[in-house]
Amino acid sequence: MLEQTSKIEEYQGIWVFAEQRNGKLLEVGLELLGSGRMIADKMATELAAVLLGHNVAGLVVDELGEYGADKVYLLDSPILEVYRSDPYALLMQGLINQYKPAVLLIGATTIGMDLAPRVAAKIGTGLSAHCTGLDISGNGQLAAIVPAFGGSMMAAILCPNRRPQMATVCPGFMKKNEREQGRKASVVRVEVSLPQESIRTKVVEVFSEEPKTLPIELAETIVAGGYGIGSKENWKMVEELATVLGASVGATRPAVDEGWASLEEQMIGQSGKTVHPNLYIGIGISGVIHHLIGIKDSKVIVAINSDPNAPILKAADYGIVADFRDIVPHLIRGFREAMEEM
Amino acid sequence: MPFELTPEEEMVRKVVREFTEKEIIPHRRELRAENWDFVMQLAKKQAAAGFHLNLIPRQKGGTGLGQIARSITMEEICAGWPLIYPLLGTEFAWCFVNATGGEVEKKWMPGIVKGSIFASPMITESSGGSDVLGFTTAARKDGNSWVINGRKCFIHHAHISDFGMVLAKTGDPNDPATKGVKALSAFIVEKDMPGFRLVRGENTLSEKAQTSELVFDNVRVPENYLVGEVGRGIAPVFTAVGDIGRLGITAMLNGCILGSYQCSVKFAKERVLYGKPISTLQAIQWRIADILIDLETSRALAYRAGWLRNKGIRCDAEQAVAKYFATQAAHRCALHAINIHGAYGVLEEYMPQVYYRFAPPMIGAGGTDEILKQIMARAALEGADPVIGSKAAESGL
Amino acid sequence: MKPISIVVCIKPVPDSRHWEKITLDPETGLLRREGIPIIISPLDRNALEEALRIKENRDGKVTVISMGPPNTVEILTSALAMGADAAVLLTDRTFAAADTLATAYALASGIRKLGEYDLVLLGNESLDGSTGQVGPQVAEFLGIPHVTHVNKVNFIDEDTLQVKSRIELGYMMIEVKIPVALAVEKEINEPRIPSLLGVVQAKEKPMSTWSANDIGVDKARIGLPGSPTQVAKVFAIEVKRRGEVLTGEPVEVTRKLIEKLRAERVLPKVC
Repeated sequence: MLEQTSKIEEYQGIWVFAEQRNGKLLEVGLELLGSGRMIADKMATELAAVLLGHNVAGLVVDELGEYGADKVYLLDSPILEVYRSDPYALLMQGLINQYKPAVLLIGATTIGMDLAPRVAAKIGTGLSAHCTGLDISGNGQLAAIVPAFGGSMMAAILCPNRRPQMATVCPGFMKKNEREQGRKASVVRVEVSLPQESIRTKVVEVFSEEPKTLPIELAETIVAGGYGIGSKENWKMVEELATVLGASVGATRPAVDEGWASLEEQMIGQSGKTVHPNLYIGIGISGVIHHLIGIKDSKVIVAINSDPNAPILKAADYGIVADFRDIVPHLIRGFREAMEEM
Repeated sequence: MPFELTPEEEMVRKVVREFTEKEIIPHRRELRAENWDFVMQLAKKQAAAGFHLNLIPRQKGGTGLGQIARSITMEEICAGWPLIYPLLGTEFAWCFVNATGGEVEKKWMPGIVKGSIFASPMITESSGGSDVLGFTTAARKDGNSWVINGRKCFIHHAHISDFGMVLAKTGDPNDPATKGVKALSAFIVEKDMPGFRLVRGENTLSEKAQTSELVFDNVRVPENYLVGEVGRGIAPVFTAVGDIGRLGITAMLNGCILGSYQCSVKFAKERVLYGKPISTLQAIQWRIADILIDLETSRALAYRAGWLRNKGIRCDAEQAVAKYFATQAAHRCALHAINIHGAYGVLEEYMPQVYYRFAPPMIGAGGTDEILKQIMARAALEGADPVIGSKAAESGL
Repeated sequence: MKPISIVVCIKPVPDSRHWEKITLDPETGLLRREGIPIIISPLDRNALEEALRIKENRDGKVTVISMGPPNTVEILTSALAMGADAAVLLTDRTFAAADTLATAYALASGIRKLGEYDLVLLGNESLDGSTGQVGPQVAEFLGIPHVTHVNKVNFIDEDTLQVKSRIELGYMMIEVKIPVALAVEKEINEPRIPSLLGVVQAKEKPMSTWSANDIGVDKARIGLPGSPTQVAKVFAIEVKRRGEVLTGEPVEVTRKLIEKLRAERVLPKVC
């Protein structure tokens, strides 16, 4: 590697990219402030948020400080209204060269995943992708925990010799802090001035819509069905249980292929979505590794399967060996009563 | 003989397998004779992928990959679904026009390269497929043309063929120079020629209406539609029956063996009885091993015959051994697969019964077991030891 | 329109249908991947397909480039069979153990050696590493703009592209002039299966093999020395679950389950 001009010790501070879209901060930025706060406290160093956009100063006062940032680097300009890699990456490079943070965390959104590698290449530093965990050692070494091979293995990645240590972090895995009303962050307004020819793309249109249903990767409760459900008629039982629990409906690949699940977005597993709900109930799912990978981060797994040898029963916290047609109606009734009591 | 496939032959298997997984396996239910439009759609896709080009040289628009690559191609497709394979007709078409040359070749080659032309060998008569001397279909010279009269039966895919190669008697019974096989000549007959018609399609165990009876009622063909020379009709027939017919059928049967192997292994791992997958039962393991023995052997014989033919070495006995063994083995392995699948083995949605139905109709195609053994015996008794590159006596087809 | 020169970066990855055969050596912490067939990373195949479609619409040349061990020629041959015009393999022991930064640097150096190019295409992320980082990093080292998460590509004139880039719950339409690097997603197209004619023609197309010296890289920036990130360890997922089976009549089992879930505090609150 080309040597960096500054020494590692000169890099101080934990930075979080506070991604905003349409003037609204993304949840993942706040989550990163949560873990960033922990890391900063452990290192006895400062936690800063980096905010780029247009007319976004309001966010500083409202949220970033109250969610844990000590400082906010604010870059506000019309050319930053909508994300483009050229201006965002060039400005981040300038900021990093000037203020030298030790760690830079970016949410692994589509935009984050577009921005982070370009910045890392501009600086010549290391970047870990799609982290689901972070740890910092006493001497300031960040360990980024990332999935490999579709998630069947995990790796711990270090960046010992370059700064800042960069990581993109999956939304929903870190916890944001309790909001501290009135907590203030100091603001560093950075001037934005880039030559016209350095910005090589034009955004012609941005389209986004509010989701009709919660994306399953963000769901806190999931009821999922598999091939054992057997028919579209029976699938209604899965949906009913989900409704009672206010849960999202998930499916394995065979259930999607059979057409019982209504959206491909509901598919959980190696080739589908990775979920991490508090409660996952899998019905008529055998539990092949491709599916188990998708649910391994669930807090509690409940499995219902008529086959006592189904692999999912070993991978569950609570297993029920029964024909789902016998047990699910009782669960529906039982949960409904329990929810009404609460 | 090298025991290694070339990188191209390896890639052929990967490419054809991927095609089969994508285009054939999801549509198995639809590949029926009643659904002929769909069958033709699939044939078009196979043609676009060049599956029919293996035996056609590069300079004529083919791939020139040869008989082994062709064997692999047909194996993989037939493991997916064996019952209908129209492109065999395109390979026959190439064989016939290659033997005829001239205007006939010029006329039909573009369509053949495109894969949209099919042809059938028109040899068999009710007097028997191998008893060529018992034929009654005859052709007589009349000015610049030949006039053909007679009937043929069990002609495969005649209903989709654009033309065929007819074996007819041209000899004079009073002329000793035209005795025996020298009485036979081969002609190209096109489907639109007046006097030529299909009588009916036969339903067989494997599929409906795939073979037909043909009538030749004073069918007039131009002089240049004679294949090769007068009285030498048996040669192009040998080539067609051997290279296209026997080796092709062998490959298709090997596809059934491969398919029986694949579905049995899959089923054995998934089917749980007595609390465990049946693949843990020794009896099942032995049946799978038996299938593997047949698969290895049958393919080795087919590839060897293909290798010899790629080198242009005539090998009638090797071809006969390969076809004989494949026919027996395909039937055996389908039965193994049915046993492994239990009651599921004969359900329509499962493949074992499909493979089982494919083998018997292949017995009559390209020579029954007995005919093939005759060829082998002749090569053994008249040939060198060991038999490599054998020629059968010309009276045995 | 004038002919276009496209470079497609393809990565050799182990076939995911055989991933359960990959094991982790507990002593060395290294993955054992022997004997698992190698394929073109699926999204790279989408990238190659897109390049071939662009070439079909206007004259041009498609070159595929890959960095990997010598047996990577197999997947490069498949790419030629699909329709690419030329292939380049960057292979050298010194390239090995590279992270995305070192990989991108090597690929960019190889692309520069190819000469003039208009478009660089690759999959948004690979099947095995799935970082999605190499695209933007190659673009940075080539000094060209990039767009990721690309679902659609249209030329609005000879030199200008309109590219649809997916964002959560929507997309951005981006206009950019060539040269540019595009990282594509699977929705962009359905990759073709090579024809047998393609298989035969592949043999006749140029396949070059370049070492680190051939492309003139700074050795300090490739392979292990050029990788700022290091894998400290790889560990298999340990799923330590209770594995408790609840028995009894349905009413009883229901009661027990709800009790347990309440105790674990995972019963959802009523909205």
